[in-house]
Amino acid sequence: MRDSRGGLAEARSGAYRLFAEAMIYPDAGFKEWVQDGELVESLLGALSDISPALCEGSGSWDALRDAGVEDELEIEYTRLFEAGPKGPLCPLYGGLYGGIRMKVMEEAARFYNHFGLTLSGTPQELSDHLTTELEFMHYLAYREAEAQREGVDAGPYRRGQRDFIERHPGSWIPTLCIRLDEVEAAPFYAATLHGLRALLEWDSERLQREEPRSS
Amino acid sequence: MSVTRREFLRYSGLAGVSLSLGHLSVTDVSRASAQGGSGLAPPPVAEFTSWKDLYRERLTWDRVVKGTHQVNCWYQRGCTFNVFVKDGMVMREEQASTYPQTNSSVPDFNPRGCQKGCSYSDRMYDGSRLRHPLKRVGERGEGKWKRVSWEEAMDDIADHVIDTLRKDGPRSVYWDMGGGMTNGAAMVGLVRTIRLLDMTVLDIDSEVGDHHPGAAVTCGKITFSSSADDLFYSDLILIWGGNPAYTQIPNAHFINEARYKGAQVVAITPDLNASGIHADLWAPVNVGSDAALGLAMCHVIVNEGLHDTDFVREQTDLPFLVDPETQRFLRGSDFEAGGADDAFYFFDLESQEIREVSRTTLELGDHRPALEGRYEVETLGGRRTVTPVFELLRAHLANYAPEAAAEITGTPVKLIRSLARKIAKARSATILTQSNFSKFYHGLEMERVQFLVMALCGQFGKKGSGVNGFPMIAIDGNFPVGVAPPPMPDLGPFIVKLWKGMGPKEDETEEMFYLRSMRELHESGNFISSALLFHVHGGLAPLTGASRRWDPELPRDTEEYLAEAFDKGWQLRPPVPKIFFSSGGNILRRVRGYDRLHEGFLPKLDLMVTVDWHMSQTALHSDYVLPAAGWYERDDIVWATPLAPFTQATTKAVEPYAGSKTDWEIHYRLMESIQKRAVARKQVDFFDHAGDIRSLENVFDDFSYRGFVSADDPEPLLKASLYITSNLGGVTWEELKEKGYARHTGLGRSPMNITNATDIEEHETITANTWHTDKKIVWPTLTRRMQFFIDQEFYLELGEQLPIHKDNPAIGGDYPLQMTGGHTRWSIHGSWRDHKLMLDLQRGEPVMYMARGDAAARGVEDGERVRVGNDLGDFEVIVKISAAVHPGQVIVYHAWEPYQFPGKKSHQVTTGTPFNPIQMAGGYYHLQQFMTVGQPGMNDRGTRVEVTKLGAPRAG
Repeated sequence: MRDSRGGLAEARSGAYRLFAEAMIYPDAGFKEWVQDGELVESLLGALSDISPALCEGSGSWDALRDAGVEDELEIEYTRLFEAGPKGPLCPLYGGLYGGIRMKVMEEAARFYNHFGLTLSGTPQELSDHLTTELEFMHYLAYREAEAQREGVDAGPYRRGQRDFIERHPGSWIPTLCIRLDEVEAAPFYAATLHGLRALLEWDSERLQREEPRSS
Repeated sequence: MSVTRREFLRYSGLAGVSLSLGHLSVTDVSRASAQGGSGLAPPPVAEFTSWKDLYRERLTWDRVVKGTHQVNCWYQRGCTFNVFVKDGMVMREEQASTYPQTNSSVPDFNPRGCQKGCSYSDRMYDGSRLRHPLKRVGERGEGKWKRVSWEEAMDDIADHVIDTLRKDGPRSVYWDMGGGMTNGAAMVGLVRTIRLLDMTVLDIDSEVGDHHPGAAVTCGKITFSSSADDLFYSDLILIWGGNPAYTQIPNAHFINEARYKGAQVVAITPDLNASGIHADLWAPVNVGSDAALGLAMCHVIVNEGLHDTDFVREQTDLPFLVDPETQRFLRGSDFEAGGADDAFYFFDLESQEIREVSRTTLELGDHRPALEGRYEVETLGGRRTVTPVFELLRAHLANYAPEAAAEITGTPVKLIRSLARKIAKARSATILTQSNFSKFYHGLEMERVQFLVMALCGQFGKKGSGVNGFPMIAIDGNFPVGVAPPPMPDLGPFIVKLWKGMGPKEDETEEMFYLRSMRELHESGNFISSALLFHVHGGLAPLTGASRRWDPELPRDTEEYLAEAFDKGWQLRPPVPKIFFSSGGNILRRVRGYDRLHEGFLPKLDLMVTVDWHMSQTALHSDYVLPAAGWYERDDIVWATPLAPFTQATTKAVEPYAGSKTDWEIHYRLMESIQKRAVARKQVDFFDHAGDIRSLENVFDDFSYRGFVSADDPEPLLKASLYITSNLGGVTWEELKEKGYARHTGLGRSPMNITNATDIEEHETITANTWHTDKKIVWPTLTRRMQFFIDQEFYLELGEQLPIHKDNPAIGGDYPLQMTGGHTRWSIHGSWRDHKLMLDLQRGEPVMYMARGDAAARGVEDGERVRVGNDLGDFEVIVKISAAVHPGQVIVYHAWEPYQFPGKKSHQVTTGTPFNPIQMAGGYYHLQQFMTVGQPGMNDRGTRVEVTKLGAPRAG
């Protein structure tokens, strides 16, 4: 575990960014990135800096080196996450896994606003989309690291991560993982999202411990 | 992903992590430099204690704009919403409730909007929302897709189009706009594409069963309606064949308000539906027996002398003389060689002479047409005895004494008599609009009878009275913009040219002129009946052509009638399809017997493209699926109906989500690719349907008005449409956008509007057809009256020259239950059918309503799963036992997607949907087809089925 000032937050920031990137639609460059092993190596590097325990199950991490042949990964991504009757099998929108969708979306957007961000980015995504949520975690952790380096109070960032994980990705990624198993998702996505779930659980537990909610 | 980006993302504990944002961006520009990991000091952040800090911000937003929904909810359409935007996303909407009161004596229209509209933002961001163009990579329907860029998709589609234009001809390219019609940019996009490339648009009206054949044959038109607030003047409101509590949610309050004023509301329906429970009186009627009920009421009205003699003499053909032997009108051609076939006669009781009826006015002057009696006339064929239609009718009605009719209808005799007297004695009675009867095999007669009942009682033209047909009103400036040649600045002179030299002929009314124009336009063949397309080329003929299988009284086979109709030009023969664009439609959900299209239609297509916002059943079987923008993601104008006579604007609250595009832009991109690819391939010529050579070299330049309108900004089209509109009070696009709606000030120059036949005054409710009743302008029928006697050959052959009841055939086979349907409360067609919020209000999956006794007889309990089947197929569904359902009836409400059923088979696999040849009739002034009118309809009401218990519903 990196315990230097801001080091853990920085590693977490990197890990969330890499997980976000792993969940974008796989174009040709993406597959090259996967097959070169750069994705998994960077990800395992970050995770080992966070907690070596997160890198366990090395067999499944190997799936992150396999982009399939020809269009396999694109087709699988579309099947799982993009399109299907009644929606895709495993949508990547948190609001579809519980609660009232619009309220989930709205609250996520208000999290972003509170911390100085807006959704007007490109490519456009909704506030409760997995990649948006992970990008936000990347940002908060990055700011936390910065604050720690500069000796500024990082508490708001940590509490933001604590609540955001609990109310957003941490609340629905476990269900997403169950669904992925049910529909026999390609190992690449199963491994990625199971790995993400483990990180979120680890992170949530730590944040709850370090930033206990006042009664 | 570029190498740079990959380098950037590479994690190295030593190198540190860079800040990399994609979907999010830093709000404060001064902080923007922090993106990319400059190492700047962290920006100040507000204290954050917990998520509750955010909750306190809930009632803040960036802006509020006006929006509405382009969905085809027809009768209940036209609801302006405030749309709340935060951070580039729509957060919620609420009814705007700013509609004016027409005058102080009637209730206002507020609020307008139903639960579907109120949850549209949730639907817009549904998990099923399509984000990027998808190309099929497996077999059709297999569900294997990959993303492609818009350019790749458009170029490939364009290549297919060019090949088909040159090889098979432009009419082989079909567009199905379903219910996605607008009155703005989307419509201009479609119209320009079709006209420039000479392609075919599907006319789906008779296929879906909205074609109101009884209105067409009686009134010569189908689009006419009063305003919903006109109900306040009614003292008798008949809900006959409809269910406005489901289908007119924003209008339904007017019914209740009229009750408070003293109106009596009568529901005539087989089931005690959601509207019936709020009525003062429910008149139960067996499924499909409404014509018998109506004729029995006519029997009472005529026999008790309750009919409005003056109205009948003036407005109907009932005084017209007919030869009872030949069952033909006495005509001018009976008196002299070459005499007019459209000159008719009545016997004048004042002068005691036979007189020719006026072709130009309904005014009777000093004449008093006889309604009874027999008269001798000398004709070219010798001496003949003629009699008024009314006399024939009286004899015909003898078959419908209430006692006899009650055997058919199941309605108590006493109630039949009472209803008849109520209608006859009402100050102002009205029948609410519905498109239910069009969906019966003998629906034409059911509708005709409704008109007959009300005409006998003179219930037209008075405020609060009338039978309401298909309601529609729209701005009249949109179509001209669609057909205008470039460049746009020449639009003004073009409009002058468009209308110059056009107008009614000497003996035509304005209505007749526009209807003739529609018929002439129709002859060009750009509009093809989808019912006929699927019959001829779609594999549906074993259903649509099997009328005699279930209707043994039919003298000839359907194909024989159809061949005659084609040969005589009464119906247009559909061209062979090669490319099918589903742009607003959903044939694999919508079409009765849709399962046959898989084998009969899809294999004939070289290319099938669906434009939709979600993966519909049709999209699932397409080659390309193009993601459409949501209704809050576009600027456009939405048409209206006289029920709520406000044209609505929908405005671009937010950018189209992900890679979706508006219909206008999709047409734009397609035309751009067609020109580009045709030039690149050096294949720019094709022959149009008339054999003339057309060029693709500048087709996109023409489409875009030579660059005057861009892909992502259709506002010039909307501004131009309103600039030349004559019936919206001069409202500009900016004003419409700001307010959200504008009230119509007239009917304007539009074939679809004009048949409302009424003046629209600012502070008056709208009452349809007052041009006929008050101004005495003739009706657009052969006899120029409301016409109840039809001496066209098919009518004579089928014994339907007068309105008649015929039993609903046992369509589907000899099974004991009759399946009916209706528009649902929880969706508008398929648009909300699988929406979680709406499903949560029902049973969560397709459901069939069943009477308690019928369920008990089959051992079926509430919530249990059953198999419903007949000779044609079967499907599985759960049962909701309802005390409101008529014994012998089962109800499956509209628009479930097949993929929502086990085995992906919907109830429409059991619908036989045979054509009734009476609806193919033509060659008779007002029995000629044109868009939405005069084509054989598909039907499903009263399909025979049996129900078998399967057991408990599936988990989940």
